[in-house]
Amino acid sequence: MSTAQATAAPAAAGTAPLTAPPPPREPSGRAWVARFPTSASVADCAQPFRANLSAFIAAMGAAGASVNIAATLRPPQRAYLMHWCWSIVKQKVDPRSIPPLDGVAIAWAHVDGQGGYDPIASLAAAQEMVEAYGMQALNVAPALQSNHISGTAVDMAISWSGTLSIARRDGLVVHIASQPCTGMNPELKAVGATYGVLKFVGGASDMPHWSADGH
Amino acid sequence: MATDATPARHVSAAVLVMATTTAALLAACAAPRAPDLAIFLERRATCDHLRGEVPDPPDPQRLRDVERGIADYCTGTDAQLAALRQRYRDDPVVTKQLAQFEDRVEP
Repeated sequence: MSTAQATAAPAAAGTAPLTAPPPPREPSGRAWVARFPTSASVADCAQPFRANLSAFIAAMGAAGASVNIAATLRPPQRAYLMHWCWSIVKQKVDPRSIPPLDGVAIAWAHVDGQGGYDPIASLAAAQEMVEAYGMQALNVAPALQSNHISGTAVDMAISWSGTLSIARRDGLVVHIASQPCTGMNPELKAVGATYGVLKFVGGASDMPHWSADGH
Repeated sequence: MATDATPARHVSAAVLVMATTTAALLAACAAPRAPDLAIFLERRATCDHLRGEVPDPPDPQRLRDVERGIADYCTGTDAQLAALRQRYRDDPVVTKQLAQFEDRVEP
């Protein structure tokens, strides 16, 4: 195979390799999409955000709010797979030029029966992945970096009825009678901030999103 | 006697002015316009945020929400970024602000 990503660096003549050879790379395709899934567990967040988020969720639970977590950690391996399959399909990036990522033994560049680069099979496999991720209509490259990827963000649906009496981190109880009774409530956002859990600064463009820095 | 004031001359001059104006307008439309810097910085930051929010399948509702946001905040920002980099190429502070963004995120 002529691709850089699939070719192990040759050992110097007459010397033994210092490290074990890399594992064989598995061709890209639909099978990769189920791997490295997004977590919905607070335990997968990075500290100190993990402890802060746990405390905030506990306070909401004690106050009678319903909290439904959809996403916390998005593994960097998943971001890598999404980004590059999209880039091959939508931006016509050469599969042979994609940088490798530790822990993801994927061969973006497929080979034909003679061992030569097969651009058609490579593109078809990337297209399979784009479709399996549901990204056919996506008009930008998925990000390689984000607070979710760093383990410092959460997407959660929050709701309650009536007045929410919730403790701030310093123990002071706040009575929230204002609307809406969701995570978009300004008073709840202020309570979250006392725990170091900040509502997304971009307003309604991402309603379930909270993070360590508001991004 | 024909003079510059004849109707034919007036029509020719008017056509020439219209053609010149139209050509200038078309040229202005063809060149990417640099948007307001502050608006761009906020818009592209939200765009980049949403690019990290593509959910695992199957989650069609969340995916639709993210795609809608991406259409609002991302569309056209590659060209705007290039235009702003050109406009502020001699301003090191703005150049540094713009350096945080990827050159190309759109197809």
